Amino acid sequence: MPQKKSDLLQGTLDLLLLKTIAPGPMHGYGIAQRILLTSKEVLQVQQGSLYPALHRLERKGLITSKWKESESGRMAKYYSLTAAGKKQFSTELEHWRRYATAISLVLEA
Amino acid sequence: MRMPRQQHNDDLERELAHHLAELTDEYVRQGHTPKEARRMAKQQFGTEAPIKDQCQDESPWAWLQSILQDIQFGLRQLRQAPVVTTAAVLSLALGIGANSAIISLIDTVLWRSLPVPAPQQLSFIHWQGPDFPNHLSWRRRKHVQGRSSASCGFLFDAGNRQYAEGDGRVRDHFRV
Repeated sequence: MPQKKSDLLQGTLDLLLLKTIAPGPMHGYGIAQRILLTSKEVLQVQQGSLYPALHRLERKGLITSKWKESESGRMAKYYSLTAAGKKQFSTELEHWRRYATAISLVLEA
Repeated sequence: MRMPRQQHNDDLERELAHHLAELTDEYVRQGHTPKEARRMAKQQFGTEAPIKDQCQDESPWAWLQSILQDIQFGLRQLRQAPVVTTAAVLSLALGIGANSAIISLIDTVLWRSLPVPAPQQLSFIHWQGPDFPNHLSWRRRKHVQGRSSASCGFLFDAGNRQYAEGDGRVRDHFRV
């Protein structure tokens, strides 16, 4: 795996965001950190993509937000999945798996 | 309209401020001085304006906002060219006026049915001889009341059927 932090493949950000907040409510900074850590510091979600994406998902009704005190004692906006978001996540995950399998089938043919 | 937008803006500002604060904390944890950490966080964060703009585009009021902006822009342009504006407004006014006049004329003449019961049963009678109208005016002139008669030729026209009746003698069939 390359050590360089890479840009996200177009269209995968929503999937990553949905996956990251699936276990429970998280704030924007936490989401970015979680993605960075779990991807072994490969995937860095920039604020410029993160917040517009979160707001877009919220507008679509896939996630909701609530202001809450964070572990550091600051007020933070926590995002969590709605029922529609959970459904959308499983659909997108399924799509992604099929897509990734198809790509590797072609590349390794 | 302003309320949700303003609220959305404040919300976003607090959200971004929180992110920046957490990022600063992270750099402090890594051993930088608070001042340095703050500078680094800001540097990594970049400028906030484009983020705000983009988030604004995602807000539920984005469509309304862009319409309002378009209207404002249009009004400004109109104010800058008063002659063109006047000409445009005048021609619109005349056009709308002329149209509504013609439409209301067509409405009364062609579309609205006649104010009588069963207008489809009405017939046209084309008078062909000079006698009957003359007869009528003669009656009027002489103040004739009651029955009178006159002869004339007329065309009886009921819908598609049209048939001529020559030399009919009208005998008080019409109340005059």
